Amino acid sequence: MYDLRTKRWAANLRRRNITVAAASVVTVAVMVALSFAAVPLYRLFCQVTGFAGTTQVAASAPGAVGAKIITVRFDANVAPNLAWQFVAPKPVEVRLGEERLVAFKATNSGNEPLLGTATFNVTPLQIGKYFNKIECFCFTEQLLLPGESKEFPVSFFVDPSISEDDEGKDVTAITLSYTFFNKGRPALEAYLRAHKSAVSAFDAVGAAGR
Amino acid sequence: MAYVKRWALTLLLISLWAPAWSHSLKDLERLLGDKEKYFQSVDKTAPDFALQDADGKAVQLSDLRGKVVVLHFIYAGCPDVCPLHADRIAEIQSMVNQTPMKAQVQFVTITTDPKNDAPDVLRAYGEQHRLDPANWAFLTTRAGQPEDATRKLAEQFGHKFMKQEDGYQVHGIVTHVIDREGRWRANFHGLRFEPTNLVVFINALVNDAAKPHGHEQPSTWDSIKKRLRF
Repeated sequence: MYDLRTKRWAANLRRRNITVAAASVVTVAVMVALSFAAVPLYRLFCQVTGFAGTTQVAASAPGAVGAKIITVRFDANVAPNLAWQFVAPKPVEVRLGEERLVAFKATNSGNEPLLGTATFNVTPLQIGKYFNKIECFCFTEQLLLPGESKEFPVSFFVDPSISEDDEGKDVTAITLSYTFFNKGRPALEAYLRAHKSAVSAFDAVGAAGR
Repeated sequence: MAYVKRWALTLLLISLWAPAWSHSLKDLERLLGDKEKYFQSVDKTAPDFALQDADGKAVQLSDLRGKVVVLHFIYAGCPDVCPLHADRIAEIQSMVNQTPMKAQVQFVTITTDPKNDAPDVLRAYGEQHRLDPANWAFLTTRAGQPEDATRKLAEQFGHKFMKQEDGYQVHGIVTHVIDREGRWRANFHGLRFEPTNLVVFINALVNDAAKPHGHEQPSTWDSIKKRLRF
């Protein structure tokens, strides 16, 4: 009788010890995981709430303000080792704060796929801070297969506060310039490996169209 | 067949569109962090220096505020990697100088062997490696500075040039990028990084892409604080 009771007690104790040990392991694991997640979680919290001065950005233009009109010209350039034709849209006239959408167009005139990436500049240089792009294609990799053309939209507005700036108030024309560079063979091969489905889909569409 | 075409085109657009909106410095740092294994994001005040160019003109890092600075350390007598590093910098410079960034970016090479790298050596080195003096300078120590001053400076930038008995130096290869306010923003390690990645990073700094795109609007937190005040 005594042995049976002792055995039950021992089994119960073992089960409870295992439960406590498992709970301790889980607690430690959760704490370690939380310590790793603390930085991104804090950043996310700041982005969502604006805590700690994190800037929140509007996804749209404030709307046309005032009567002042600025001419925006576009400039398209390609590095010598990239066989692309890159065409800029025609100049547009915009009111301050007015959102405008234009599209650049690039065509791969070579006989092999080429991967490009673009840098941009706004001139006059000191006015760049007032030229806001809501949507653009800068910095990202762009693949063009032989003969393929692609449009690259740019959505922008000129910040109305330009009229309060000593250097900006007399500006009547702004130039947005893009330059495409060749990412090179290794980057192209890596891109094609990572985007097999996209390239196959393009081929399928091309084959269906032929 | 039309259904297949539509499906294929949709798949293509989805796969290509995903990163199309990433154009802030933070987005770019994340992108480079994923794609460029030789990229290291940094965010601290760059060590200042007071050196001189081949013509004896004094140059301080603080003089270059307003420009993005691409800085690296080499010495002219280095037989192997330094010439390759100089060639890589010249390649980056030629890409940058094809754009309006030319006036906004300064390339700086600093010798870690000021004793042997006399002014004529510095000048000849630039010509040999097709570095454009319009926005490139090869700097050395000023009179009165210790011989190891630039090697100590390299240490402040996080890497060592250890002088050997035969005169050669054992060292790493790092290209440093400093923003327009004098903050050290990135290192590109070695010679195998992709040149366009450095060029677009420079472009982001030139355009102050860290600043918000679009106009600011009051944050939720600011709204709460404002309400609590009343």
